[in-house]
Amino acid sequence: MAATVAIAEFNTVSETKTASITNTNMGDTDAVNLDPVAYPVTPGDYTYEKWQKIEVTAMGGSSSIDNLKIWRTGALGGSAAHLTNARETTYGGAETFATPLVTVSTIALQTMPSTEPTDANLGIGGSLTGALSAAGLSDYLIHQIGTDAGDVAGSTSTMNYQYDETA
Amino acid sequence: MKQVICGACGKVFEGETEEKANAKYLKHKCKKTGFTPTDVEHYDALSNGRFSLQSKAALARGEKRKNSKKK
Repeated sequence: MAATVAIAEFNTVSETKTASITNTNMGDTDAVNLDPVAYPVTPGDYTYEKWQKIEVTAMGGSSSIDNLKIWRTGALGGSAAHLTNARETTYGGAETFATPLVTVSTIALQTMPSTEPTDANLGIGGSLTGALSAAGLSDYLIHQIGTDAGDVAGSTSTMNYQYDETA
Repeated sequence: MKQVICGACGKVFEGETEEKANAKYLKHKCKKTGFTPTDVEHYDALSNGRFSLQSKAALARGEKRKNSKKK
């Protein structure tokens, strides 16, 4: 037995939750599993923010889930910037949901790491040293891509969501 | 009413709170995978078996950290 862990995404003013998302495509609509070809970003504009959580649906006999690390591998197109609230130092704590913005985020201000962080950069219960000992959710991960007016193409990269599990 | 949607089969669950809607979601047998969201098999079906590999790696990291704290 092992814990079951997935990524959940929250959308619209209603904070509708979609569990077990299968991609984190980003674009010009506030929707889960969006089609970036159908919803491209105008060069110079921002994607809608993504509001996501790591969700433990069952502990499967394990005692703890902790040490959450978030990073992206693969380059972005042009001069685009990928920004997030995930950070190893001066973590802002658990954010309260707000309708995802398509203008510049006021929360996702840190550059998304492009390599595995040394330590946790997303909290549980508002703390980077927090842990789950029962089914539950992490703090909100908020991220957004800001494009440059000179950008001409999108890109494909990989988001990494990592946790440690203690039996 | 709060809504929770199964990202695999698209079924919508409603409740007065997210917790109540989520409790219904966790109990449903997904039409796409044939398992509930608390089954490892549900995630393996959605990831071509990669979930179990990632889970083993997570357990190895957790045990390594636990053992390093003991020393």
